[in-house]
Amino acid sequence: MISVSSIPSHSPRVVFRRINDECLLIPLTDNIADMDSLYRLNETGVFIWELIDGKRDIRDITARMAEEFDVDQAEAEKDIMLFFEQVQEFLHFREY
Amino acid sequence: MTLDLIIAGKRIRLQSEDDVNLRLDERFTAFIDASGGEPGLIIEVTPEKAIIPSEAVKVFDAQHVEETPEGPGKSGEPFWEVASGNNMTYVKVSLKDPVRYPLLIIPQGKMRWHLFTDEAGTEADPMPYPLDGLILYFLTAINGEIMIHGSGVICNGRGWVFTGRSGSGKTTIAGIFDRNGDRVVHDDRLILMKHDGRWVMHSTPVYRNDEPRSSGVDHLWIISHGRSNISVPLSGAEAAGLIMANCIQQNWDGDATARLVASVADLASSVKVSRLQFLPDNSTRDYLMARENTPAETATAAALFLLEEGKQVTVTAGGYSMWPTIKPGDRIIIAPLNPDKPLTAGKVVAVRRDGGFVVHRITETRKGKLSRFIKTRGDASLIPDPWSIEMNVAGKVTEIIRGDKTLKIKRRRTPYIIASLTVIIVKMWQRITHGKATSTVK
Repeated sequence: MISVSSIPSHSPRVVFRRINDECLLIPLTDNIADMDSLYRLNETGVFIWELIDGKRDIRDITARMAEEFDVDQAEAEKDIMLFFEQVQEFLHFREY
Repeated sequence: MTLDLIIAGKRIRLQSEDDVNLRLDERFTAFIDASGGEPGLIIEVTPEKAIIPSEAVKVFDAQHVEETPEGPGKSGEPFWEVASGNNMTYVKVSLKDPVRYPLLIIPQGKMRWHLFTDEAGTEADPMPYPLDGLILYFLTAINGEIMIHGSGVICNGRGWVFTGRSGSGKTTIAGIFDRNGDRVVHDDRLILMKHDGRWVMHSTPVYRNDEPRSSGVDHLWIISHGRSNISVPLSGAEAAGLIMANCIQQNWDGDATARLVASVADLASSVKVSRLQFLPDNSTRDYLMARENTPAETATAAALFLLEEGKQVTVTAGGYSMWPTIKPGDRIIIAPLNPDKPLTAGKVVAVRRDGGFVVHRITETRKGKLSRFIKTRGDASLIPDPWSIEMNVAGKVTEIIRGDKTLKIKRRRTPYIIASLTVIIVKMWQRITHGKATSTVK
């Protein structure tokens, strides 16, 4: 279960490529049948992705996000949790 | 025996013992080259059986895929697989009629590969389907070259690539150009690579009557059938993602995947990329030619001229930088500036830039000694534009027309867009060309 105290780090099973303000995420797989999607993150998604370093927890990332985007902390937290749920297959989480 | 093939400008030398006869399918005939020269790759062919050593680990598995009316369906039968170990990559192919299991061994970083074709006797077929495509894949993957499901044509001296999912009309569109006397580079599978700073497409042997053909690439279209001919320019990650989705790839090796996506990003930023919906008749060719011959600068120059003349202009928005205030396809009414009314923060303006203009919102103004300066930013952008002098503002946006509604310019929303994840659905390597013996165009 992901919570605000979870510490995310990037999975080695995904290739990240930044293109201007956005990025592509390409999952690595060992079976052709699973090779059916690649993903595009928008600018804010890239901002969060690049804050993930295996040290910051989601609470820290939310605070950085709220600072950068002049958005209410509670609102940012809701959106960030949703984001992490969407991209969880590309991340590992540990609890501090 | 030695046989040289030149595919996409690469000399592939197939070598066997003198008493072993190398036999190639007809589709390679036009690619055989007897002129000699330094090979880029040597494949030593032995008609014996070899197996993947037990210490190698399977890294990729591909089952047989059968095309059904509902789309590709897995049969569950083994087709080919890749294993890795001892600094070697092993590619095993499962063939029927007769049953045999050719094994390709690629020593890491070496351009001398070994192929055991699993045939009894002194005859060896080194390039059975799908091994030929796999050899080309591993060869192009070394340098991040792009193998793509696509057709390519040369029309009026311009190289156009059409790519899209299975059934999107790649062969159909190539056929339209073929009937009009344009040269078709290939109608199914291309290799794209950069030569001297320019992207070039090459044909690959797929059909019986294929031959080596090449052309520079000027425009790449992601195609689908439509009710009319419409093209929309694409850029950045969207363009690269849609190209990537149509590339032939094996995403088990992170380094190869990273090289491929880097090349695709370069391609997407070097050539024009558009989405194209098309009608399967000559109108498509006429539409694309007319579109290509109209320089975009003309419309921009006309709009700037009219604004300078004090006239209001209407332009169509093409990007997402002002999302959600202005969406692509919205028509924007731009009015000339009133010299008595100074520009203030919050106004959306057209600022001259790079020979055209961008429509962004003023975030800050500053008075200099001689002139006033403004700072602008797209509502959806994190990064502000550089400061520009007020004189560079061509006009002010007064209204936005979306569909049949006229919208007033709203105050900027919170500069926060929910981080979004867009899924670009693809069915990639599964769409292997097979079953068509002869290309429908030539």
